[in-house]
Amino acid sequence: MNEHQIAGKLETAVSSVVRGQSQVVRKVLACLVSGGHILLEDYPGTGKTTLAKAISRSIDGADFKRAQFTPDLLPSDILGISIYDPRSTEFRFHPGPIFTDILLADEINRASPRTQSALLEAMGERQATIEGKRYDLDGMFFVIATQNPVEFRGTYPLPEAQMDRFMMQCSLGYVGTDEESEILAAQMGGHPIDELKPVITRDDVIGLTKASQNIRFSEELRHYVVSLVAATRQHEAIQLAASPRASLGLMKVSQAMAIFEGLDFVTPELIQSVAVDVIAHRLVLAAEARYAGSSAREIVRELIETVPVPA
Amino acid sequence: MTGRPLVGLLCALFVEGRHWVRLRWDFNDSSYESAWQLSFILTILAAVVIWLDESRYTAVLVMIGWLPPILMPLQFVQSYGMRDSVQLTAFSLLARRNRLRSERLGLIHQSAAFNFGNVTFLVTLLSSAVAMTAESQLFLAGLVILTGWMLLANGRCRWQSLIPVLLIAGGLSLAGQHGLQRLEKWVRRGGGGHDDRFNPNFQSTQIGQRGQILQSPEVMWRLSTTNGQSPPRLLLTSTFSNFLGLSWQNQHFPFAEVKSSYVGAERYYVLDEKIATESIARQPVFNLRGSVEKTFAMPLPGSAVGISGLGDAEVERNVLATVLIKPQASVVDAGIRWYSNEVIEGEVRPADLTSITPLDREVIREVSAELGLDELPDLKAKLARLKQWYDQQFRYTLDLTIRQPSGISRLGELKAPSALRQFLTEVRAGHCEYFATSATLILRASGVPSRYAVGFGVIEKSSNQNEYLIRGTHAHAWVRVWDEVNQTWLDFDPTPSDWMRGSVTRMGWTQQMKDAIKRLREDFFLWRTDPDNEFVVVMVVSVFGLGLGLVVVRRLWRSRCRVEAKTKFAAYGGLREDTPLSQLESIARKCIGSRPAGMTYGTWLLGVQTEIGQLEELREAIALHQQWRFDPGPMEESMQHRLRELVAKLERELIEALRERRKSGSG
Repeated sequence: MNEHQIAGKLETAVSSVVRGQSQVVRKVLACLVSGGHILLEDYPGTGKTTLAKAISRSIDGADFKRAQFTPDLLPSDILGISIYDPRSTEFRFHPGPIFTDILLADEINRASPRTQSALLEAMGERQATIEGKRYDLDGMFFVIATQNPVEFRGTYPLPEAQMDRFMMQCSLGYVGTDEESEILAAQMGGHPIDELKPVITRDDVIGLTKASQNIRFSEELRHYVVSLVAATRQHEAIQLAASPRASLGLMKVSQAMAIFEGLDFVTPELIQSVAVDVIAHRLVLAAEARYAGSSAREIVRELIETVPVPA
Repeated sequence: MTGRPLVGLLCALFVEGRHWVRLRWDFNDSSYESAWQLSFILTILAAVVIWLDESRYTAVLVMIGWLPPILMPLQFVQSYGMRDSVQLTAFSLLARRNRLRSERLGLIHQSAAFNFGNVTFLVTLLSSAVAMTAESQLFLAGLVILTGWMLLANGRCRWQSLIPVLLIAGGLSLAGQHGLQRLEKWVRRGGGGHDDRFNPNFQSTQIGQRGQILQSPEVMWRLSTTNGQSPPRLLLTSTFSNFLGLSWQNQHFPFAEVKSSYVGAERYYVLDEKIATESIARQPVFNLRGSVEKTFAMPLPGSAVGISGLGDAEVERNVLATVLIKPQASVVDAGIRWYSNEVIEGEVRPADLTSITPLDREVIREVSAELGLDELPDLKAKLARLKQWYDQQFRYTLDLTIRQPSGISRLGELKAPSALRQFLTEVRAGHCEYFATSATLILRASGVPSRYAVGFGVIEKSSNQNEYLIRGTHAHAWVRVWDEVNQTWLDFDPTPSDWMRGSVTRMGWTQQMKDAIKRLREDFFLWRTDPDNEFVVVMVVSVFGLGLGLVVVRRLWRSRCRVEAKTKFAAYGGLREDTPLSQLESIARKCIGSRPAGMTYGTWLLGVQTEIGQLEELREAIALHQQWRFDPGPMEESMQHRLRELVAKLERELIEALRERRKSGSG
C-alpha cells in the first residue's frame, strides 16, 4: 500500500462522515500530514467537532481529546497539574488534555491570553513545561482549534504572533442543500460516526508525514512560493506581512497535498489551491484597507492573480 | 512639434524622469493645492503676457501651445510624490471646505482621485496638434510611431496585424487634425464671422445687397500729430481699377520690396525715391499706433513719402499705392512722413469703362452727358460740378435699399434696373461705396483717369490733445483722380459730407472702457519693447522669477527623500525547460485569449476543451507537462514520447477548431 492509497483511505473515511466538504477535508488532512495545526473559523453547527472526531476515529491508536475553552480556563487545565497524594505522600502529575494525538480546542478565543499562550507554546515547540519539568509531545500532535467568526463579546482574539503558529486557517461553511439533505438521511438511524472504523494506524500518519517531506519541489516553484509571500510585504494595504514561516508552511502543505493528488512532485496548481488558507490569517491589514471593506483573503487571492506563475 | 523642441524635450524628461530618479517627496494635500495654485498663477501670467503680445486671434492658440509646461507643477507633484494620483479636492475650494468640515466632524470623507498624467497627455496632444507652429506631417508620423511602439511593447500585436491598427490610428489622427484645423480657423475668424483678412487685389462691396451696414466701433488706429499740425483727412489702404458687377478687383500687380535707409539709428522706409532720406526725415510727421496682424495694409495719406518706427519689418508695395507690412511685433507705432506733391503711385491710369456691364455703361454715359462734364474745361470744374450734383441730389444712408436684379424676364430683359442705375436715377441714396464707385465710373466716362480707393477717414478727435481715433466705423471709400496738368493723383470724395456725422456717434461706456484697455495694452507693450526700458523689464522679470524658483527649489530640496526602487516580484532566473505542450500556447491564445500572469498553464489550457472536446487527452497532456516541468526527477522516455503524440493530436484539433470558427464567423 503506497502513501497515496493510505491518504486516500483516510480521506474517504472522513468524507463519509463529513459530507459535502471534500475540499476542506483534504486541506485539513494535508495540514495533519504536513505536521501543522489548523484553525477553523466557523459558525456553530457546521461540523467542526464531527470532523475532528472522524479523523481521530479513522486512525487506529490515535488519542482524541477535546477542551472547551472558557474565560476561566487555566493553563493547568490544559497542560496538567501535580496534586498531592496523601496516600503516597507525594505529588502526582495529572496530565492535561494536551497529552494526546488530536486535540480539539473549541472556541479558543474565549480563553484568557495566558491559557491561549500555554497551548500555543506546546503547538509551536511540541513540548510542555510544567512546574519546571519538560514533557515532549513527540509523534503525532495535531491541534484543531475553532473560533466563532460572529460573536466577539467576551473573547480574546488571538494575537498576530500566535495566529502565525497555525499552519492554515479554513472554514467549513454551510454545505449545499443537496448535501444537507443527505446528511439528514444519513443520520436518521444514528450518527454515522459511530460506525466509523479505523482505516489506518497512527504510524501510517507518521509515515505520511515523512513521505510528504520527500515530495519533490522544483527550484522554480520554490521561487514562486517565495515571491508570492514576498508580494504581501509590498502590498500597501497590508500592515503586517507574512513571515518566512508562511513560505515554509506553504511548501509543506503543498507537498502534503501532492500525496493526496497521487503525485511525487508539487505543481503550481497545488500551491495556488492552499495559498489563501496558509497565508491570509497571518496578515494584518492596514486600517484604511480594513475600513474600506477588503479582507486578507481577498488580497491574497488578488496577489495569486498578479504574481506571475511558472507556466 | 510646436516650434519649441527644447521646452518640449525638457517637459518630457521631467515627466519620464521619475522612472530613473529615486528622488521622491511625500506631498500632502496642501502641496497638491499649492501646485495647483502655482499652475493657476502661471496660467494667469501666461494669459496676460500672451494677451499683451499676440493679436486676439492667435492668443488662444499660443496659449494652448504653452499649456503643457504651465501644468508641469501639478504633474511634478504627481510624478514625484508618493501617491500616484491627484485628489480632486486640490482644485476646488468648495470641495476642500467640505473635506475640512468632514474632518472636523469626524466623518468619513471620500474624495475622488485621478491620474493627472491623462490630463497632461491630452493637453500635450492638443497643443502639438493646434498650436501656432504645429507641423501636421510630423504630428501624424509621431502619432503612428508611438501607437505602434505602444502596441508592440504590450506584446498584443504581431507585425502583420499591426498594419491595419496603424492605418486606423493614422486615419483617426488625420480626421482629428482636420477637425482641429477647422476649429483653429474658426477661432482665427473670431467665432464664425467671415474671414476678413485684407486682400489688396479684391474688394467686395455691398452694392446691390439689402440690409444695414454694420461696422465695428473698435479703435483700429490712433493717430497723433506733433505741434498741433492737422492730420491728413483720408488715409488710403488700397486702390482698385476694375469694377466687376459687385466688386472691385485688380489684375495681380506684383509687390516689390520698399527700399530703406538709416538716418541716425532710425530706419526709414522710403516711399518716394526721388527725395533724399535726410529730407524725408525733415518732412511733417504723424504717428499711427495700433495692434496689427501678421500682415497688414498700412493706411497712408496719398502723399506719404516715408515710414519710420517699424524696426526691421518687411515692407512691400504695389503700383496701386498699397503698402503691405509684416511687422515684428503685434503692436506698431509707425511714424509717417508725408506732405509732398510728388507722384509716388504707379502708371495705372484706367480711363475706360470696359470692365462693367453694358447696362451699367449705358447709365454711366447718360449721367455723364446729362451733367455735361465733357464740355467743362479743366479737372477742377468737373470735380466741382460732380460734387455739387451729388451734394444736392443725393442723400447719404447706411440702409441698403437698392437690390441687384435677381433674374431675367421672358423677354430677355432684366426684371429690374441694375443697382447702379437705381442709385443714380431713382433712389439717389446710399453709402460711400455707391458714391465712390459711380463717381469713379462717371469720371472715366468723361475721360478722367480715376481709381476706386478704400481706407479710413480721420474724423474723430480724441480727448487727448493732438490725437485722433480711427475706428472700424470710419472705413471709407472715395476716388483717386489723375490730374493731367499737375501730373499728380488727387483724392476726390464724392460722398456728401454728412457721412461723418453718422460715423462719429457718442460711444457707450463699455466701448469707452474697451478703448481705454486697448490703449493701455498697446502703450504698455510699446513701453516694454522699447530698447531703453527693456533692461528694466528683463531685470524685474528675472529677479522675480529667480526668486520664486529659488524658494520652490529650496523648499523641495529640504523635504526630499529617496525611495528604494520598487522591486518587481523576483522572476525566476534559473533553468527552465519548455515542454512540447508549451508550444500550444500561441495557438490556444487565438481561442481563449492571453494567459493572465497568475493563472497556471494547465488551468488556462483547460479553457480550450469547449473548442475540441478531447478532455481526457487534454488532462493527460497537462499532467505530463506538469511532470516534465516541475518534477526535478528524471522523466521516462516513453512518457516524453506520449506527450509529443498528445500534443501533435491536440494541435491538429485546435487548428481544425479555429478554422471552423473562422468559417462560421465569416459565414
